[in-house]
Amino acid sequence: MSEEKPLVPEGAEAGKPAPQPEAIKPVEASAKPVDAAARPADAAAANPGEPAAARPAPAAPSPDKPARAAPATAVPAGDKPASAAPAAAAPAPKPAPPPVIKAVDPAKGKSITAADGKPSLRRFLGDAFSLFKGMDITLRYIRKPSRVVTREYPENRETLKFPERFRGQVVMPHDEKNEHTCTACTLCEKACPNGSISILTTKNIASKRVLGAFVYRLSSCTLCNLCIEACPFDAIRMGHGFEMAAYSRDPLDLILNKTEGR
Amino acid sequence: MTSTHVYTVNHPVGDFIRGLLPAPWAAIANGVLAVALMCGLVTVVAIGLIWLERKVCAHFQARLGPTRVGPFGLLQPVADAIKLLMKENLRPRTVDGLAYFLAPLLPITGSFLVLAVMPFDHNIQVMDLSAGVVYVVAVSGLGILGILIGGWGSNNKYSLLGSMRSGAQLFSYELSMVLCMLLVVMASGTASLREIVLSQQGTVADWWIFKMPVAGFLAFALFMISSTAELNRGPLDLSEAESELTGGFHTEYTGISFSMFFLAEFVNMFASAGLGATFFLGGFLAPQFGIGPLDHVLMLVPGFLWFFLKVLGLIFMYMWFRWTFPRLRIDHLLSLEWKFLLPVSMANLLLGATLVTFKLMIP
Amino acid sequence: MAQEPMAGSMELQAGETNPTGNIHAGMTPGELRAADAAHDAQGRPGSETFRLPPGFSLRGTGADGSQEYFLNMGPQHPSTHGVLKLVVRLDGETVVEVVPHLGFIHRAIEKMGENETFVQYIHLTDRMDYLSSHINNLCVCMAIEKAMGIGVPERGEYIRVMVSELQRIQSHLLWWGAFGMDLGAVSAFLYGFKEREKITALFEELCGARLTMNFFRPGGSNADIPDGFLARVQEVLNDLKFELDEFEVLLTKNPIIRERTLGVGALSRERAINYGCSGPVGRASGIDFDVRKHDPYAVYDRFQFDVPLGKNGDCYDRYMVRMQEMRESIRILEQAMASFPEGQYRSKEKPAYKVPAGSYYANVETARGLYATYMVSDNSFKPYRIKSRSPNLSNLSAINEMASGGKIADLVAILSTLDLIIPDIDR
Repeated sequence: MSEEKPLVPEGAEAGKPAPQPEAIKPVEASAKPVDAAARPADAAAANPGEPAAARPAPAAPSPDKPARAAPATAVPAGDKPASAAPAAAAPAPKPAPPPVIKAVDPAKGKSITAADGKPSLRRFLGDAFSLFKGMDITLRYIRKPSRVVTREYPENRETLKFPERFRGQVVMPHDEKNEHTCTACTLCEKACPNGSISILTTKNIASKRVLGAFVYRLSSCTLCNLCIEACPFDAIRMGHGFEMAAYSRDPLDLILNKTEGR
Repeated sequence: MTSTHVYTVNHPVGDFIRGLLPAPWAAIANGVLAVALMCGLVTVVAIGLIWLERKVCAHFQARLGPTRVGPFGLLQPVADAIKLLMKENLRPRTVDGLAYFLAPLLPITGSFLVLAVMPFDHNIQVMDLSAGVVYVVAVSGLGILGILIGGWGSNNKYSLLGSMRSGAQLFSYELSMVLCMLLVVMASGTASLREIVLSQQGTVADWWIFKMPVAGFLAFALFMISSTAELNRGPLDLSEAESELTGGFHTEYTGISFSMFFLAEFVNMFASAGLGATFFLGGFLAPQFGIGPLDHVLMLVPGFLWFFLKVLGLIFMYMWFRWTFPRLRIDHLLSLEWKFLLPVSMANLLLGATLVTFKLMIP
Repeated sequence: MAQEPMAGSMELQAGETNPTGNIHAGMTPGELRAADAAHDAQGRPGSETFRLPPGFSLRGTGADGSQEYFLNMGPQHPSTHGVLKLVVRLDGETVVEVVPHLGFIHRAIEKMGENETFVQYIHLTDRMDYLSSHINNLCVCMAIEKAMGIGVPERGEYIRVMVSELQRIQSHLLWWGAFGMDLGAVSAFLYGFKEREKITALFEELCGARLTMNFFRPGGSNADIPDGFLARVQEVLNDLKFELDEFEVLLTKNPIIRERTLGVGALSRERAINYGCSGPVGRASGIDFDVRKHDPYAVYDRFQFDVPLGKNGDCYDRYMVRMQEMRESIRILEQAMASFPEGQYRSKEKPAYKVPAGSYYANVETARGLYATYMVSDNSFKPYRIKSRSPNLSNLSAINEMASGGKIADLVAILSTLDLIIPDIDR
């Protein structure tokens, strides 16, 4: 930030308690009313017209308790299914609930060593087969060495390709006459969230205020792109430099312009 | 085969030394030479296996592994060894002196002793005991002892917990492993490792994994699972991996002592794979298929190369297990052994006994 | 074996609580050093006077002589969930109590927000839940738009939906990999990242950044999508559908995973509501709430998609809900790409955003749950107060409930399926 502002809301005076902001709207839990009538689009798009019973019947408690050798857990097992119904049936009319699918079927996932699961040969063979299939998946990577995705840096520096929008460190492009288009308007300095840019101006021959030095503190830059967005003259750009490590902080304070402004 | 008898393994070098020196000195010289060669072998094997583990692990994961230290990263384990040896040897003040000192030595000693009876070739074996199997089982207990002592001597409750857990696991899985080995002992009629290999002479179908209709393959599978647990590896390594949380038995060890544990794991892997190859895959015997010219060509390859190839195959299986599967929780691990592996091994032994008695082998 | 307490130190009896945590209250530094030296000289580890974490009480020795002990899963973890300290009280192998200690990565983001303009605050929200950074940005933009009555053109809304869903898939892929790694299948981590890299490359092409995106703005987004972007997204989705099937085989159908997650860390629906759990954690416990359905923003109400719901709230349910969510996101993406409109990507940009006085609220569904922004403005360019509601904090608060009674290994599985991002908790 280029200037220090006192941290009081506008309209406050020194020494007086800060006035409350006017017209504080009450916080709404949701912006739109949860009302089926007010949202025809929603009812049309979602599974229409199904009442709350569309949800899979929660009445049947899970038939097999999960296999846990531990003593009384903090979660009483009886809580979940039976109370699903009262929690759903709020007194106010609710819209059709969004379509849901049952993601899990606890009855399917029984193991052979569970205390109360019934071991069966079929399940055991299925487990063994799925273990083999898992092994096959990892074997596929050894069988095809072309699946290696490692890129060997720094040997591949010449062939590195960056997307055009890649946000590396900020650079100021100069044309072949070593001129840039920065006019020292300081919009980027104001846009920077943490003061990584300082524009030092100077006066040119015609006593016009122009850019002297564009100080760019790479040590604090977050590469957020806000300065580029703020610049109306396309004077700065996010370059593709990413190798920014240095042994001391001095190389991290850069001056981006090569010449003074015009 | 008479019981208490040590078979001298006749090897040209051994005979040469016996010709050179009088009797007791020759034996001592032979012994020293064998031990020295064994140390060399163990070192090379350990270094090679560390490299192999990292490369295989990387290629399972679509990456490259070590590539920079030496060609194909072959010198990476050397760099790791140098790093480990250069670390400061901390010794907490309150550890139990003798136990703390002794613990790292035991697992590696156990592995060495197992390798001492391993038949690498017809006449490459340090010593062949007629009760080889019993000896192997007894001596592999030294590794377990090392872990238990290490956990106790560290004077750290987390080390103690980890080592107790590990000890329970190793001790349990020893049982089913032994039962699988017993099956082969029963089928071949001998407990000497060399004789067990020689009892598999013939074609590939004479290897114990194939010769007994179902029992052989089942025993091999159970042996692989049990030895994975014995090595504290793969999906059965909770006591070692939970060391990420609680430290495990090797928390208080750094530098050389840690590298002893670390090395012992790889040498153990080699020893277990060696036992697997010996019992089930024909050891140093070349695979013969009954096709004249092909068999002749295969016989040209020396026995120890076949042994190493088979061992490498089994080691690859160990690594494959490790890098594919998630790990079992400690209670699953133990119930897997006591409720599944042990009964199945016993049933398998019974089946094998039936096969042997009624001579129902595949001819 | 009772020894003389050190001068000025406090010795706790069984059942006492250490209110301040400062066991050597009132000692000068010199006395403290002397006390430590004396303690060392006795050479007796685990002596009676040890420092208890604040708020903890020590149960006495049990009837069978056993004693509970503390395990500090300290701020640095092998499983990379972030800097979270969990102090676990254990009885043998069983977890009795888990207390998370937060604040290791508190960076005062909300306070910084008071000194930055509204648009500058957007890039700070990137760094909260960094795996849903687009969606966090979107939440702030929605709050600003609501406050100032700024509309978003249709193409801008479609871009928002597409990018949010891609971000959700990317986040779940990383979660899947970390889950596999925590449970021991280390290869899964690499596979998850390999797939995630394709989406990261898409984002790199779209906005230039791979983690802290800062792409959305009030009224739309920073820039339009590049040429040919939709085709590349489709390619990635095709790959992803195949890879998700492989992932199912590798972990989901694996009996070891099933053993370790089924029935572990169950959280009932009522308790989940009480703790404020949302997102996949809440939905696995049976709370059928998804902001995209119940309070639709952008153009989510135009797309057909299901919201997976679990039953028991155990680790298996949380896992399955997330796997299914990835597939549903693919579904939304394909529908969006099929009807992608032309037009502007952003409504008219203002040079500066001066939000009228008042308080405004906007909420979104990140990959982790209900994320909301509440801003109070005093008719200036900077907010008077801006608060971000973090889904991870509420999810984490249920950990004691889920983990107590189980084993340590279960605690790791529970933490992993909660899918926490600690910087979002500490902000």
